[in-house]
Amino acid sequence: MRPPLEVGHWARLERLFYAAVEMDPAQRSAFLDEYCGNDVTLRRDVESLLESSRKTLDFLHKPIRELTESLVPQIEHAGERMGAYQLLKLLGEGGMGRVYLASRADELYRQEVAVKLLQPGFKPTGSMLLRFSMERQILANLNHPNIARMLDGGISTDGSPYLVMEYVDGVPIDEY
Amino acid sequence: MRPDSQLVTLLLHQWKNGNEEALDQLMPLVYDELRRLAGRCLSAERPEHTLRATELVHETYMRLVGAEIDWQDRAHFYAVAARVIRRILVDHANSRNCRKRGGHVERVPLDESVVIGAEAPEIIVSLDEALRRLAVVDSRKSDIVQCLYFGGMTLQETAAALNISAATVDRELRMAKAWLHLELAQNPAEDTIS
Repeated sequence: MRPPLEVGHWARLERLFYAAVEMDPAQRSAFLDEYCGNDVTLRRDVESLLESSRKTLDFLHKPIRELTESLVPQIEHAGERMGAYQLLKLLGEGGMGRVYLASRADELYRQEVAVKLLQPGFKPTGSMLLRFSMERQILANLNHPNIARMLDGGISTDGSPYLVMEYVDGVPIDEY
Repeated sequence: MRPDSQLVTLLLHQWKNGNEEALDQLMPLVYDELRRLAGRCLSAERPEHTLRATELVHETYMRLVGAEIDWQDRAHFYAVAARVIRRILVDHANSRNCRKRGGHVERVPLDESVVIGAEAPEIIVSLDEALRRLAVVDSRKSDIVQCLYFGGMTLQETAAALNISAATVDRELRMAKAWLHLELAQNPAEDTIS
């Protein structure tokens, strides 16, 4: 945390800034010499402000918009049932979907699985549904010890497709 | 339950007349509605799947107040909404950061592109902290930035909400932006500033 601003210093900075920001550089230097005198802190601060006054804060719009948009997928699915599986807790999320730890709800046998859901509140386009079902088909055809096996898949009661996969407890790939 | 628009308008007037408690009553109403609307806006089909603060604030206003009140009251409402949006986004940013650090939720490699840039929560938290430092010496500049950036308000709306002229907003904004630029450049989010 940076040191707090001081009211008197701020007021002096403000007066100098507004006066100097309209001047051309040659004029400005003489003006600051006169008004700042030996106050090197004031001089340094007002010059930094003048320098950055030409820059834009447009870079703030994107994160604000992104965060606003991401407010939506906070709907919690833990506790819900997808087919024969009960969602237990959120494991992770990506742009389009969420992955939950789940277990069989019908108690025929015990098994922990990962259930991947399309993002709630996210109306998938035709091509996304197609990709999702392709992923389902590809995974269904695969059976290799190093690839999480697909166990099941279906459509939830609210109409979004889901995948049930073998749950592999491990280090995330980006931390490996 | 949808709050009565008369109540919202009354609270707005009380706040405008300097009653800070009215704001405390107003914020949760706006908060709930904003959250609900954020959900609904996004689940509706949108070609580019974007949601801007401006739209969100406007739709919240239409639902809570309706079109009857004059534009200055509307600007006051927008200012409240801007404050609420800032709070919601900062809470949200903090929860994401925490989750990343705490490791309760592991990142699962999904094949989709990630919607939120990794630096977005950090930028929002830095901005919020900078605005709080600014508010200590110059709350008006902090309010101006809040209205424009979090509320998506225009210069005129911001001026009406803060009871100052648009020229003053413009002038103060110039210094606020310069100062914020310096502040944010000294934070870890610096790499993201072009």
